[in-house]
Amino acid sequence: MEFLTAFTESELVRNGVIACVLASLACGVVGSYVVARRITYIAGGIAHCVFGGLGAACYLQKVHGLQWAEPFRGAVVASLAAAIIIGWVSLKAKQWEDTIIGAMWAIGMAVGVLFIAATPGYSQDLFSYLFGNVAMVSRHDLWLVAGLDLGVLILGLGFYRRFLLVCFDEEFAISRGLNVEAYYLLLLCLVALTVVVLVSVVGIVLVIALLTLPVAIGGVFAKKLWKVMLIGTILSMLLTSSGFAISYELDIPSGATIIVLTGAVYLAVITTKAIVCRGNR
Amino acid sequence: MVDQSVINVDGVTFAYSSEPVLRDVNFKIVDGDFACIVGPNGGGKTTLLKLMLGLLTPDTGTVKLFGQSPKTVRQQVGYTPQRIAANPRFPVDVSDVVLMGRVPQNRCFGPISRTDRLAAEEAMESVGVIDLRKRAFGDLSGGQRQRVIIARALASQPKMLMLDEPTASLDVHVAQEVMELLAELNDHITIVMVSHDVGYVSAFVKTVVCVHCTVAIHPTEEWDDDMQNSLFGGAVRRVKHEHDCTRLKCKIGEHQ
Repeated sequence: MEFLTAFTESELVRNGVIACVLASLACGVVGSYVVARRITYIAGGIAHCVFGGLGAACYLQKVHGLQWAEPFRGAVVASLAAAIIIGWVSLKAKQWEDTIIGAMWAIGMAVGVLFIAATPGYSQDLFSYLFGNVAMVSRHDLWLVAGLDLGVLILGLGFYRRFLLVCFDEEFAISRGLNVEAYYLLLLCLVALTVVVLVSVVGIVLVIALLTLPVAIGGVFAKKLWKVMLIGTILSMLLTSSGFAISYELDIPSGATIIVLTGAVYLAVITTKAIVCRGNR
Repeated sequence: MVDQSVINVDGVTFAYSSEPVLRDVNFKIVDGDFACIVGPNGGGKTTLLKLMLGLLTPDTGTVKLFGQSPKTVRQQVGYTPQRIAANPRFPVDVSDVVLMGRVPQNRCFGPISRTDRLAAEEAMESVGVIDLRKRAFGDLSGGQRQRVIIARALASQPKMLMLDEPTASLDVHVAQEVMELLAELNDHITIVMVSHDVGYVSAFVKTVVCVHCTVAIHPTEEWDDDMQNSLFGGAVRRVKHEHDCTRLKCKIGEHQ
């Protein structure tokens, strides 16, 4: 196996696998809330806004020489801003939620494209931002990803009982005196940071599939949210690493390979389940 | 005589937009009561319940719960919403749902404490769902779900239960069981519930709060057996609430 040899010899391949594992932790925990609360569309909106932040940071760094404007920081700022704006709209102007998310989704992309077009030597970056390139994760990136991951896990698991209640029954949560709006915004911020972590693995366009499909498979087997998180995390680790390995062996794009593999496993699981359920009747 | 009222609604008017849903509403509910809020759809029943719980704030007038502002003391009330918006496949089991009633007094971090577990188990015992505790909430029948939601409300060891249409969408037999459960719980706890079905609940209810923009209070003693029988057996359509916002003509006795 070429990949195993590469794993022992190449630091980049090792970094790639570590990035997969780290991303899977945040993905399993936060993805479970996203699927249970049915806010996939919001997560998609946030993900596409990240592109605007990445583009703006690239532009500021390369054209204006602002060294602090690292793409990663741009992504974090843009994702959090998007989470707060969308969250606010979703809480205060529910009737516009769909429209605003759709608009931000497209505007985020458009802004990113404009900035990147104005930045010389952009095409390489463009492709990896959109579709991910896990073989290009540097040690520096890895530390950043690990830092975000840790934050997301502490908050996401620490407030487990609170988030479970807020996602399940908002009205009851308010009657118990919880600040539901604050928890909802916090949850969206965690989604934002998770998206940033995942972008390094599968890219902006493909983030949604990785955020939702492994936990959706978990949901087929588990009836407690923490079990969904556990299964989702393990599956996500397996799927991202093996997708990466396959892409390496065949020399094809890693992000797309991971997503196709994940989608195939998801389809196989729900089809099997449907057949088994029919058989039991 | 000591004032035993636990809810005081005084001159309350409330509007979502320009047209008031409730206008100049006055009534009180005493300790140990089993009050049922009835009235036509859109008449303001749920709005009234939410005002009493401090989920909404009146435009004019005051609502007092245990003599205080509802927002500060609503944690002493066990509330069951009309429906749970969450998706039916939400991954929670019955004990998860009941433990939600322990928020916010439970600890935020770490495993579930012994006190919380015991309180949840006691609540599940008292409504007869202890055997279901490991079942997925989404797999339960309507009646079982309603019991679990009541157990969740009881898990906080409240002084009062407020239930929003606990028997809606249940078939008659199951609804009767839920009402019997509530009557049993009423031995040691005040109950306020909303129902669109005035005839059905009457057998256990002590006070009827009749809402259609304004409010009329009817002690259930006014209800004679003939009336109940006709309402039980007869169509609900025959119960006419002939009041409007300006003129209140609702007397149970006038229901034909």
